[in-house]
Amino acid sequence: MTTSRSRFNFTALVYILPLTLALLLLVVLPLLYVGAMSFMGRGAYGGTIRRFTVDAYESLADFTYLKAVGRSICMALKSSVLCILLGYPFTFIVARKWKKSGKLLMFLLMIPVYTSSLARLYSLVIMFNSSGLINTALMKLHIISSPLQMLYTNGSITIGLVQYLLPFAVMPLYSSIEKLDEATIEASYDLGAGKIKTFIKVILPMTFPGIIAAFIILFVPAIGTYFITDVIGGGTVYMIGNIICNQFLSARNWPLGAALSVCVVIFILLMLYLYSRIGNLDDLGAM
Amino acid sequence: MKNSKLVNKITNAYVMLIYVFVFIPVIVMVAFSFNSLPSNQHWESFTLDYYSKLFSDSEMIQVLINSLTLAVVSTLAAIFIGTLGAYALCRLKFKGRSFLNFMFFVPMVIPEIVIAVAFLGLTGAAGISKGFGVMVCAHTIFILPYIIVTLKSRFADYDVSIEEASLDLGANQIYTFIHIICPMILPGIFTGGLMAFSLSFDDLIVSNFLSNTGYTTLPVKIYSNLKEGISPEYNALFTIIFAVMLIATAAIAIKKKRGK
Repeated sequence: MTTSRSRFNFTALVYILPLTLALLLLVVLPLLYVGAMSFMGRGAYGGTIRRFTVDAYESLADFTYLKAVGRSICMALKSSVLCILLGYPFTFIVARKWKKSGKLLMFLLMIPVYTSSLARLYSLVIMFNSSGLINTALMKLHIISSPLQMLYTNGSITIGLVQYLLPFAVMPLYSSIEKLDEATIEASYDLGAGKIKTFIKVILPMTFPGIIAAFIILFVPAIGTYFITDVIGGGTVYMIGNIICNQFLSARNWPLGAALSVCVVIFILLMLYLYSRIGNLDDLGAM
Repeated sequence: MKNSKLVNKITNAYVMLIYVFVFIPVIVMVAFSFNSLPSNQHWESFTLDYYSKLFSDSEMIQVLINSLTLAVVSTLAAIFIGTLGAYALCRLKFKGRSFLNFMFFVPMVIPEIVIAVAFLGLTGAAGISKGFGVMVCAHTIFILPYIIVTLKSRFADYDVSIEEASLDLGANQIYTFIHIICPMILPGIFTGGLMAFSLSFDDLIVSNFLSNTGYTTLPVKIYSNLKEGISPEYNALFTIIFAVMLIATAAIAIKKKRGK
């Protein structure tokens, strides 16, 4: 049953009306308001004053903010790349060694996600504590003589982020590795390329969209999930999410927070659009 | 060949290592929920004290019920919107289809903090007060993409001809949808629903911004108490949640296997 382009598909309207309304009212409208807020004046006790000004963007161009944003991006990049480096071999092995139970094994990795992220985070904190599990174990084995300072360091924040994000990384990787064209790989072997060469020149490029999808899925929460850096970092590192959050809760500079949000959203939409040109959007959340 | 045996061992070990890395925090949490010493660092003896304490802590129970209601309502709303939408995006042709295919990802990829402040600002300007209603809207929209993506792949998987057969045999679109299509994608609804439910139940960022003094959710309450440390009661609660999720996951997995 084909529908010609010019004829309005009424059946479809019934199905997409809830979705379209939801997206319009709950995504487009709020985001537009954030844009509007970024051009407003700063209220004395928080909130905004309705006058047009680009104060917020001027403040944003300040060097201290740019430095903080830059550091945040670096840390998020580090964690995302680490997740992909750890997750790719895992997904590759699972997808190709246990083809039949692949999906189940992936599902297994998602189970910790269904447990409170706060609880997992706090478990990490008590493990990294100076009298925590890791330090106690190391001291009992006489590897170190005094406790290591692990909390509130960049390293522990990275580990916290990786621990939180890793299950999300494997989802898009799995769908792209699963769909690898065996014929092309066989052909590569037949033409004389060894396993390593085939991997670098055939498999890796073919799974490239999956890697980019994973990166998008990782990078965004990495810069936005402020409670991870808060708890493990103790406020030593400010991710973009922390900065935006602080503008609304303590610094009471809503337009600045809005301006930063606008920049982040534009950047992400750009990434999303570029990704949609090279890969399948549906792989972003595939399960 | 010896070489491939070694490779086999290494690959197995690596997979196990990743599982261990991801599961260790959960295991620690479960272990310490039974710790008789309130400290989370030394193990004393096995106890079920905190589990019984849970049931008498009325404040925590209220907050737990809040979180559950919010998650259930949001998930149901998202399932309703998402099932219809995913079906249309997969099966029907209409103007703006590729645009809609792109747009529904937006709530998934923008950071939660942006969603949170967007709703905060908008509801403030529109004079809507924070609380349950606003939180349902916000939760629904950010869990929606996960449900749509899951269902789209289910719709793509199964046979269109069954649908067409039903229509040929005289059933109308609505009947076909309710009695033929929905049962077929039910596993997908469960999988997506479970994910959506946990995302909503576990959500801190959006809930933190949109809750008021009368209505808080569990993660928000825990986060505000975090400076004093997570009391073992919470460990017990999380262990219970973990057990429930485990059972739910197992049930879905078994149902899937049986279905095949």
